[in-house]
Amino acid sequence: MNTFIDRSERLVFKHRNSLFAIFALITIFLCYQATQLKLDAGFTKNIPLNHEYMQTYIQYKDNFGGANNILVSVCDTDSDIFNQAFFDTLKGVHDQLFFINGVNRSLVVSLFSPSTRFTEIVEGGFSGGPVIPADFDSSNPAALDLVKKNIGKAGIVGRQVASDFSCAMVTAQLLDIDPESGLPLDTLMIAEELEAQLRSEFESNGISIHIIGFAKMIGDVANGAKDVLIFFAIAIGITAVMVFFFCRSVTLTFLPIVCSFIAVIWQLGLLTLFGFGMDPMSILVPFLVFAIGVSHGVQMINAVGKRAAQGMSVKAASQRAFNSLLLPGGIALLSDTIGFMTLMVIDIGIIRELAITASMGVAVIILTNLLLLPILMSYIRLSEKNKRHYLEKSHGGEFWKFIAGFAGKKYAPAIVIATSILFILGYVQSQQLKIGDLHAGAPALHGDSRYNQDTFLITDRYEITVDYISVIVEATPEACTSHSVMSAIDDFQWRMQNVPGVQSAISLASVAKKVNAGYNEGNPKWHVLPRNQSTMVQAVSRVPTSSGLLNGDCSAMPIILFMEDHKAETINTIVDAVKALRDEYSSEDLAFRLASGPVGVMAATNEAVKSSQIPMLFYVFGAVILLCLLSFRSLRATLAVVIPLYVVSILAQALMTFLDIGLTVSTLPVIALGVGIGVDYGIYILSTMNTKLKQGLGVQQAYYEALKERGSAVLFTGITLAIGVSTWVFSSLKFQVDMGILLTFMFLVNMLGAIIVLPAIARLLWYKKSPGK
Amino acid sequence: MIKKHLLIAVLLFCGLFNTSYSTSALQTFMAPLVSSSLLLDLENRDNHAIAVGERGHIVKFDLAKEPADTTMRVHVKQVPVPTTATLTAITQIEQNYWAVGHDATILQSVNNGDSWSLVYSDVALDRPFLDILFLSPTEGIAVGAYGTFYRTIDGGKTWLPELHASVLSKEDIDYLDSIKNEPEFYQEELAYILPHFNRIRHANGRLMLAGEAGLLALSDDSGSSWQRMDMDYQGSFFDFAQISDNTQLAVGLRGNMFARIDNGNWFFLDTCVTTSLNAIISQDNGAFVVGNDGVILYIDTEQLNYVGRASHNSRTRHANDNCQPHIAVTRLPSNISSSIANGLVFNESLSLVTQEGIKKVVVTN
Repeated sequence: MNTFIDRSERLVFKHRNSLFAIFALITIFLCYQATQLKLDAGFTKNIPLNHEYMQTYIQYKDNFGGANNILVSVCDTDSDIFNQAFFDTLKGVHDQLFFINGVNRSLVVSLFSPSTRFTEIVEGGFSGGPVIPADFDSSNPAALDLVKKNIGKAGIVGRQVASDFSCAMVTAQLLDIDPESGLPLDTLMIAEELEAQLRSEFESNGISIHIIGFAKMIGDVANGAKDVLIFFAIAIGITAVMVFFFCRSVTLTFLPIVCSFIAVIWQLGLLTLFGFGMDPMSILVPFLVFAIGVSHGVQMINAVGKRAAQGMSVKAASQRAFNSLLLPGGIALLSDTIGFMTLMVIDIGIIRELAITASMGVAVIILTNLLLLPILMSYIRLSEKNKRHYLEKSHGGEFWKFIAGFAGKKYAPAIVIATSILFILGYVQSQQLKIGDLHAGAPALHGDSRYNQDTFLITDRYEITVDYISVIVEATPEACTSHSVMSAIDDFQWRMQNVPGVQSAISLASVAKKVNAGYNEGNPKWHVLPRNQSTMVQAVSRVPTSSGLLNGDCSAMPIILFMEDHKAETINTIVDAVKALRDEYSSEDLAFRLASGPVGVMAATNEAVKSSQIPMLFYVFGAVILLCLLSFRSLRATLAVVIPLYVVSILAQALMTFLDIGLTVSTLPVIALGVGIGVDYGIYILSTMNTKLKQGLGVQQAYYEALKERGSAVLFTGITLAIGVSTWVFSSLKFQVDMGILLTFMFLVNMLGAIIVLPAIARLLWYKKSPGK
Repeated sequence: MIKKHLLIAVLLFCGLFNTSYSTSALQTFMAPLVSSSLLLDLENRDNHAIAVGERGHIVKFDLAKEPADTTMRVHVKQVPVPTTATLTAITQIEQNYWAVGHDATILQSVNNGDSWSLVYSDVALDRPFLDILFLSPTEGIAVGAYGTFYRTIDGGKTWLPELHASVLSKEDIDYLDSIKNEPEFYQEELAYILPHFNRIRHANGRLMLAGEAGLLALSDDSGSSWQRMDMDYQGSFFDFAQISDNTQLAVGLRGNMFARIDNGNWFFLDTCVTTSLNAIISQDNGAFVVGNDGVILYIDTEQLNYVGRASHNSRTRHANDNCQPHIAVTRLPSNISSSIANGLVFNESLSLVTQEGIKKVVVTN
């Protein structure tokens, strides 16, 4: 191994000019590629496509509509909706939404759609018609009055019209494929069009427009994600200032930051080159790559500076630094890369993209900061003042002496005991960790964001919500004419309605009962499913397939459960109830399948997240352990690195329970990212310690040596990374705030773990080597 | 020998298992939401009330208790019932409660409604009972769709069907006469030509029957023969009641309401309501009438008697904004929007069975 490193050292620095040129060319090329990078969001990327529920969802998407809905509520801010200005606006919104490319035009529904009809019971049957007649004239008060009456008869108050008559709804569903281009639908474009062509166009004095749905949500996330550039700038600023205080040299500050920046450019360029876009949900990754780059860069300038201060030429010092850091740095970055790649096991598109984006970025750092950085350093000069600074630093003095005491017999047992207690408490607490969203509204956005405000307004004024889950009942063709099938559906629905968290429910069976009562003169005593097949046919035939309650041959009928919210607990209760009931009601010809609807998607996502949590940790730690074993060739060294890391990841989960952060698509990767980055500290410290231990030093002495060489860089990177990510707390996106808090915690506490817990554990593991045992 | 015993034991066991399984399958689900489910009729003894409704729901509640929530919904206690058929009506006689419903179901309770036994049921008949009345502890009548009319004279042990073609209108009788020489077709038509019997009541020694296609009929001989009233309306009647010593009231589809005084001519009362009126709730000096879409009307008998005789106008439609209801008819404000099936008056308040469960409305006149 050493001969290989020595040989590469000679080779690299012999050809440093040509390598420099190659790096420059690649950077220019990838920089151009990076400018072509597009923000890219898609609904299907967010769902675990292979999950049982999503198989159902995909199978019936064309029949019963997807979960990718757009709800536009047009509200009159002054009075009720029955005035000319309102109806003209509503008509405008309906028509405009109809013409937005990507909207499924057959499923645009509002008061103005011909499918919105009323029926009333008269002697001898039904009479009915469209709620808004063809000759409707909004300027005629009598016409408005008629519409008001028809709305009452149609029974759409609470669904298409707000319960207090202050708003009316236009709903639509989005296609997956853009019908014009044949490419996957550009969700962000739709979001922009909704904002520009609906909100800006029609919102006025007295009329407000409220838009919700996945496309709008992700559009708002993308807009918020643009703030990331500001955080990026702030982080670069803070990092630069801190690096300067660390090395007291403008040149040495400049180099690691440039190299890390190059890593980001390469990463973004490579993404474009491989045909990926940047999802708004993973926009933080370049930032993370930059931070990791700086942290390794600081180790490098630290190593060069110290050797130069001891009298070496800068070039020779750079060569030595390259030589000594290639192994620990390479191992650390490789374990980051592998750690991130383990996220690929999770069957959700955006997490996979995050895994690719992040591991690609970290892999690139191996080239830019372990190879390019020492090459660049070898060209520079260091002032005497600067060398002196390093000389002073490497003495380390009393501080490192004190810290080295953690490996001494006085502190080590106490630290290990305290850590064990913390671990046990954290472990118990972490069992409370909830899967999924813990708050109402869109969890990616803040509660006071326009989108969530719109969501709250709509759920407040209407009786509907976007929080519904559909159980698809599968039976034989024409099953809807069978009394036994329909009454099974009806019973199932009733049992589900009695489950806490279900607000209301609808199915073909419940509608058929209503229609049957209608055929019997509206007499509530006939609110039953007719046993007579032809009567059942009569009842069911009044329900069109466009209602989304049955497919063409009525072999599949959804039971739609409207929920009070989409908190993880609520979803679990309901899904568990469905599973228990379907065992009771299923038969050979009758299956109750989970699930469609927005909450069906969430349930699948929650389950996918939950089931990947343990494998993910298993693979991340597996990768870290394997790489540590390979590089240190010591079980004890591996344990000393991995134990603090595991304790911290458990503590992070405990922290999540305290902060009410659920394990979601956006927070799940944080643990893997945290472990991947956290391991760096341990590896840098232990690689020196391991060498010193092998040279025969005692644990405390070896640790002191490691601290003198790497301690300040470790301390520095921990704090720098933590400060950088802590700025995310000010983000306009809720999920970035959550990630920011968690990553800050992981970076800081992992650093403390490496400095405090690692030596104490090492002391116990190398017990025999400790002088004065 | 041992084998044989074993076989018998197994068979017995299977038999037991099967029975217990099938009864448990028919047992009503004890639903937390029962208090907001569709309930269709109720009865009371003092402040103890029992209501019946959808899916074999039977609930008990206390009329004296205040409503449990802001929508004036009343807290109820569900009792187990051996059927899941929708129950449409309940009545009481001495110590017994009787309930009827779809699938020709008849239930009996001998312990104040705490438990119920299935007395009669005939799924194959495919007709619901819509009302039940007991004339004495031994004699009772259950009526329902397509002229279904069952009678018991042994306290509910046996129920026998009766055919009452005398309730048919003149046109229908003529039609049946014309096909009498085709016996098969005649029987087929007879099975469906009879109107639904929606309500049967008992007053002043007479039976009163309300039903489909303008049916109002009286019987002086406990229902053996019927005299059909000649009405100026061919829609359905849902209730027909004696609301005072000399006044009868009939209500039906699309807000139709008719009254007659001292067995005189029927006259139309404009209610300005276009939804079905389902039930009449008599009380001193007047009656409440409840219907779909949360309609609650009050009929002032005194007023009716005062002006009624004079207003012998024929039925005219006034269901528009300028509609003035008949002077004896007042529409009460209510925050109920769902269908009201029936109700009863207790301590200045109306307890109603509705599409959304039991609701209370305070009525201080």
